[in-house]
Amino acid sequence: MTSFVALLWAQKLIAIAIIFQTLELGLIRETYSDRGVWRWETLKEEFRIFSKFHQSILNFTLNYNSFCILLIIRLVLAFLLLFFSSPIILSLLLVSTILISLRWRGTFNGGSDYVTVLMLYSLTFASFANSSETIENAVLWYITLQIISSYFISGIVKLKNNNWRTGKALKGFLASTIYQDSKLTNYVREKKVLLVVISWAVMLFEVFFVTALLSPQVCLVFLSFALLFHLANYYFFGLNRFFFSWLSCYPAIYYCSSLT
Amino acid sequence: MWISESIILMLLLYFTSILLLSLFKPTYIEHRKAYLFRCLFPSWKFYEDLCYEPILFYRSSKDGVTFDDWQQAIKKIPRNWRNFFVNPKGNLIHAYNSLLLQVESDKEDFSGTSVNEFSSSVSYQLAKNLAELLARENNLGGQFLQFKLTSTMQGNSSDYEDTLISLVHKVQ
Repeated sequence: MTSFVALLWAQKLIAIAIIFQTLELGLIRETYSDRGVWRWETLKEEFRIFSKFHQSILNFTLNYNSFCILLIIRLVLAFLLLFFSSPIILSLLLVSTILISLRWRGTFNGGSDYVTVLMLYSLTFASFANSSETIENAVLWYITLQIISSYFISGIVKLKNNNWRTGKALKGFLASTIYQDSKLTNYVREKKVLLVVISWAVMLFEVFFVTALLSPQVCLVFLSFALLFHLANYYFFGLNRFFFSWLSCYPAIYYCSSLT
Repeated sequence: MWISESIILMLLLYFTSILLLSLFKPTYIEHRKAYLFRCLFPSWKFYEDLCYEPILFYRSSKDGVTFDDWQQAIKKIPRNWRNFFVNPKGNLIHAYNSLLLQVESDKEDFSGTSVNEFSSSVSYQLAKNLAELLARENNLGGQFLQFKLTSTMQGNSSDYEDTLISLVHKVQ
């Protein structure tokens, strides 16, 4: 795989992630309409800390009607990104993602928004570089380091925590998900040994994910585990956005593994 | 060969430094503008530890004096693999929960002041909007609405404390 192909795959995968994200936002439009929770009339007070000029831009772009148009434009741009690679498309997607995050006072969905923004500014930078292999490599390494750090840091903070090491944390998280209990979640929550095993499997997977860079073969094994890990996160916690955002980074990780 | 060895050495240094940094207590930027742009500053500490999470309750009244019992406002939803690609309801509940966390955090900044003063904040208003929306959706009768946030330890529902009891609001 060349750096160009890795970036192309990353672009297509982030485009798919953005399409799903935008459809979701479109489907919950009642919540940011003029009678919704995040109505602009209430929310605009949050932006009084900005200058009048910036407030007027935000008033123009983030009121309900404009925001719906912004989502439609974003959807079209994401579809275009599936077929065309352009710095303009990527830059506009980046701006729209930041504006959407602002509409939700920073982020709509935490981690998946972080990764979407990370991917978009990295890919925008690479696309402006006019096929310079050095820049492409630098961008792919940057994405790889960020994503491996995301697993590594997440694993380290869990390892330091006694509740995680004893399975108590996982039990608590499973009890407080957005979903109704299922047979599987009840079964896992009641088996202490299973909780400990799963907790340690998660921590070790996250901490040792960095070894995916040792070779493309090892990388494929880790990426397969990563997909299962994110599928499980969807099943237990409803984090479907994380699956698609993180997936878009895997071509970069695979490419970098072939360099080491 | 020396290139791949240098890369591995640099990676080793990078992740060792992360490991060492994780030993120190992190400092957080509290500036509101930075907070609003936090999508640019990723935090990778997911599910770090069990914590108290705010749960929204509401109750209604016909006269604003006598209220029904408190009811949990955000209901758990059934799992469905069909929502794997597009999961509006699930992600909306995540967004509601983030909002409630923010309300609790902002309430702490108002500590020592009355609910009346806090009620002018954006966070309070958004929580009020949320309670009203859910009351409408769940056909909660009555002309008046009151909501409260109860901070509950994840996985231990017996460990809880009311952190905010709202004013009484006329349903719009």
